[in-house]
Amino acid sequence: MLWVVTGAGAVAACVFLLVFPPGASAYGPVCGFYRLTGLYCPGCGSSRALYQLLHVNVAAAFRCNPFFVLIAPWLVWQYVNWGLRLVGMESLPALRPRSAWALYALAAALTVFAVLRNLPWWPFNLLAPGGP
Amino acid sequence: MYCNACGATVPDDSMQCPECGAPMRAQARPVSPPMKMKNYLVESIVVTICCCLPFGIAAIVFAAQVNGKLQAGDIAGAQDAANKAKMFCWIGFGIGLLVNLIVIIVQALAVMASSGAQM
Repeated sequence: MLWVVTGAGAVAACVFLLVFPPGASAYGPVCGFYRLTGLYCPGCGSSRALYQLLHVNVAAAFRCNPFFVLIAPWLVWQYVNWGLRLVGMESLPALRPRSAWALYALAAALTVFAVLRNLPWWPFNLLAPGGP
Repeated sequence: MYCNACGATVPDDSMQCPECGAPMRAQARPVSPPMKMKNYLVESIVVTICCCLPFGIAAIVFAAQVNGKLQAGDIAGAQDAANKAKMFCWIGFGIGLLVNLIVIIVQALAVMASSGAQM
């Protein structure tokens, strides 16, 4: 049930993004964290990246948020796996990093990414959402 | 049965997961669906992407501890870390929701105030 509701929500959000480009339309909500701090968090540009991905512009999506582009297929994979498990099937491999160090590295990389993409100079400004 | 660390299917009599090497608990032979140790990695990453940066990162660190402690055979410690990862996910989710709601309300009030001034 939760799987169907969240899936329907995700599809609805994708259809919405297909029609209204985030940032360029009055309907795109602006992130509260960015509003308050003026800083780009590691997720900043995710909806712009998803908009570009839905329009099959992988390069443009990468300029919006490279981390999101890398992680999005994995999130979809985990979501499908969750649904398969709910109906009692386990066909897809779990694809989870098993080593603790991989996860510590991920946390460190995200922290570094969060700092670097806020630096206003080349080449770090390439990491900012939208890119130069 | 299933491995608590990686979710792989493991022969019922083995002491160690053939996939990841995590030790299998002797009593973990449930007839009902097996309990897997969630490390809340997916939830942590979603919280991180959804603009709750410090809490998402903290949750990922605890998710890493879950895997590390499971590999060391520390089931209780892993459960503890999993609970903390879960807690940080919910804190991040709650604060993110709250901040965004406040920003939306303030923005709506500002729009209403400015349109009221024009009339």
